[in-house]
Amino acid sequence: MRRGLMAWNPEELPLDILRERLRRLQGAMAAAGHDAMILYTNFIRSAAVSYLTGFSPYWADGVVLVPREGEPVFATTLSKRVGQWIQSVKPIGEVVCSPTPGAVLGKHLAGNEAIRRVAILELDAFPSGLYDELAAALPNAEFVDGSEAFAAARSHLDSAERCLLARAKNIAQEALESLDESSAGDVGNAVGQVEKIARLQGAEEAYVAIAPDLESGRRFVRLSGNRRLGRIFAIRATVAYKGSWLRQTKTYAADEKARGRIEHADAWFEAFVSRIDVSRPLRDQIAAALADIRDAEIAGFIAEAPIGTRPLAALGATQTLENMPALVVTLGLNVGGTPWCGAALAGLFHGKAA
Amino acid sequence: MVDAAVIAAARRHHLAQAMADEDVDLLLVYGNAWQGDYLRYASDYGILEGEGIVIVGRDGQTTLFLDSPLEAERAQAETQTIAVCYAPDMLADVESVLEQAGNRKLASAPKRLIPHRLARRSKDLGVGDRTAMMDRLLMKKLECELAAIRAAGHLADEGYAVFRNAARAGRADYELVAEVEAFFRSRGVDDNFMIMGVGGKEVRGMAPPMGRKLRRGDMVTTELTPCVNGYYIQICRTLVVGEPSAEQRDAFAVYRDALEAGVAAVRPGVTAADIARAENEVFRTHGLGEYVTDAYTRVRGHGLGLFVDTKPHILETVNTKIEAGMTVIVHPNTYHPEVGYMVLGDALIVTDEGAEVLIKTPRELFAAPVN
Repeated sequence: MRRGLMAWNPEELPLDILRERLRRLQGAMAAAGHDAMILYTNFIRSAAVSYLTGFSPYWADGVVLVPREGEPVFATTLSKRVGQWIQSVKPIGEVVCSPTPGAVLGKHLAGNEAIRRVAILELDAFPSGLYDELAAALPNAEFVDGSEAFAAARSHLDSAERCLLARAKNIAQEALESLDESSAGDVGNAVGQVEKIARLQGAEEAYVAIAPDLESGRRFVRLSGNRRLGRIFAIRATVAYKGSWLRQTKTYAADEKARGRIEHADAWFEAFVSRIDVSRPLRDQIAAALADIRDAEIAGFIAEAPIGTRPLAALGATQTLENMPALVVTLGLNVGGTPWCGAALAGLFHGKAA
Repeated sequence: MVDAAVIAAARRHHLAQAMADEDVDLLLVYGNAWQGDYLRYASDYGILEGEGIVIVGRDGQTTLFLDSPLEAERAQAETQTIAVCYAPDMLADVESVLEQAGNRKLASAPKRLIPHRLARRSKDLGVGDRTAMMDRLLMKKLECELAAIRAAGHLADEGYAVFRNAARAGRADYELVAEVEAFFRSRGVDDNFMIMGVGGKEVRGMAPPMGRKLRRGDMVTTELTPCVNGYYIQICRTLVVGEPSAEQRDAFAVYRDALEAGVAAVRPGVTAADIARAENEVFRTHGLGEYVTDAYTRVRGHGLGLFVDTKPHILETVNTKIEAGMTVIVHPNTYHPEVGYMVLGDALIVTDEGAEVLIKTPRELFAAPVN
C-alpha cells in the first residue's frame, strides 16, 4: 500500500496546471470523437488519475469520469469515512464513495442522451467488474479504447511535473548516498536505511530492491533481514513524490580498486543520461557512448516512462522515445570485470530531446 | 521455524485438491500489489509493480506471467518451482494459452478484477468463475499457515513499540512511518499496511500521513499490519501526546470493553454478525449507537491472511459462519463525539475453543512524551 506522505500543496501542483491538463485531455477527446473518458486507478496503476487530479489511492481502487466539458468525477471503493480526506488531497472534481463505482459513473452518464461513445483508457486491461457495471448502466453506448487520445494529452511535461520529478530525484539520490558501504551492515539494515531516509524526506512511496552480491548475480530482489552483503552490491530506490515516479540505482563496493571503476562508470552514466537523443534508438546510443569508458560491456538495459495508468512502464525494444513526458534508464555494465548497475532519470523531455 | 517453501507446497496441494473437487483443469488467477492474495496463494509470489497472471494446472504445473521486466527478474530469483515468463503483452499471451487449452475445463479468479480482454472471452472459451473456491481457501487456513501467522505475531507488537517510541511532539506523522518501515526491513518484513490519524475531534478516520506535526493533546491512531512470508498480522492502538485527558480515558474504556466483548464472542459456529453485534452493543449501551453505523466506521474487524482485509468482514449484516482456522482482527474502531476517532484491535486465530489472541501489547491508551 501507499503509506508515505500524501498531501496536496498548491504551490507544488497549482490548480491552474491541473485545469490545463484537463483541458488538454478534453481537447484530445474531442479530436478523437470521444464523448467521455474513463480512467482506472489503484495504487499500482495510479499514473493517469494522479496526473489529472493530483490523487493516488493508498488502497482500493476507483475510476475517474472525464466529460467532454466540465469537471471530472471520481468514484472509488474507498469507504465513505475517508471521502473528506480524499477531497482534501484531490483538489479537482467531485468524489463519490461506493462499492460499485462503475455503476455510479454509468448512472451519471446515462442522464445525458448525447453520450454515445465512451472511451476507456487501456480498455483491454480494465477490470471486468467495473466494465460490467458501466455496460449495464449504458446499454446503448459504444465503449472504445481511449489510450491514444490520453497519450496525446499526456506527452506534455509541464513545470509542475518537472519540479516534482526533480524533488523525487533528490530524495532518491540523498537516500542512496546516505548509505556508507563500510558500515552498511546486513541486507536489512542497508535496505531499511535507504527507505527510511527516502520516507523522512517526504517520499509518497519508496520501493527499495537490492542485488546483495553483484559478483554472484545481478538480480534485484526485495530482500530484508540479516543476510550478508557481498563485496560489491547495488541498491535500487524507486521513489514517488506527489505522483511523480523514478528509479535511481547505486552500486557500492568495499574495496578501493572496484570503487574507482564504479565511480568512473557513475560519472559516465550521469553524462550519458543527460544527452540522450529521443530521436535515436537507445541501444545504439548506449553502444556508441561505451567508447568513452574503457573495457565496458553492456549487461542489459531497460527504458521506462509514465504511460497511461502506469507510473513507470517498460518501453519495447522498437518503441520510440519521442513523446514521452519523462524517461528512466536502467543499465547494467561490466567495467574491467567489475559489475556495475545504474538507473536514473534521463533528462526531462518535452516531447523531444531535453 | 517457518519454512516458506513447505507452506507454498501445502497451498499448492490444497489448491489442486479444490480444483479436482470443482472439476477445474486449468485455473487463471489475476493479481497486483493491492489484491495480491489470490496470485500469492497460487504462485507464492508477492507482486509489487505491474500486474501478473498465474495459470495453474490441476497437475500442479504453474506458469506466472508478469508484465514488468523488473518483477519478472525478481520472480525468477525468488521462486523455485514455477515457470516465470516476462510478458510485455501479457493479456495476448494468456489469451493464447486459453485458446490452446482444447477441451480442458477452465476457470478464473477473482471475478471483479479479471482484465476485460480475457473476461469477454469467458463465454466462448468456457471459463467459469471460481472466486468463491479461492475465497474459501484464503479464509480457512492450513495448520502450517497458522503456524506462520502465529510466529509473526511478535513483529506487530515490536513494530508498535517502535511507533510509540518515535511519537513525540514536533515530529511529523510521516516520520513515524519512516521509523517503522526501517525497523520492519531490518527484521525481514517485506510489506506493511499502515494508516494513521493525528489530532482531536476533527479527525474522522485514518489515512496515509499528511505531514501533520504531533502536538500536545493529539490522539495518534494507527493500524499497523506487517506482512511476514506473505501473511498479514494487524494491531490497532491509540496514543496521546502528553497525558491523556479524563475524557480520552473514559472514551477509551468503551473501546476496550467493546474489543473484549468482540473477542469473547469469537468461536466456531457463530457468525461475523454475532461478533460485530457484541462489539456494537457496548457502544449502544453507552448511548453511542450512532457511531457504529457506516457514517462513522467501515467494519468492526475483518479477516487477515495473504490479504490485509480479507473475508469475512465483521459487520452486523454479514452472516458468514466463523470456523476454526480463520484469522481475523476484531477492532471496534470508530469516531467518538467527545474525543475524535479512536482505534483498538487485536489479531487472533479462531480455534476450537474460541480465540487465540496473537497481540501481546497491552490494551491501553498510551502516552507519548511531549519532548
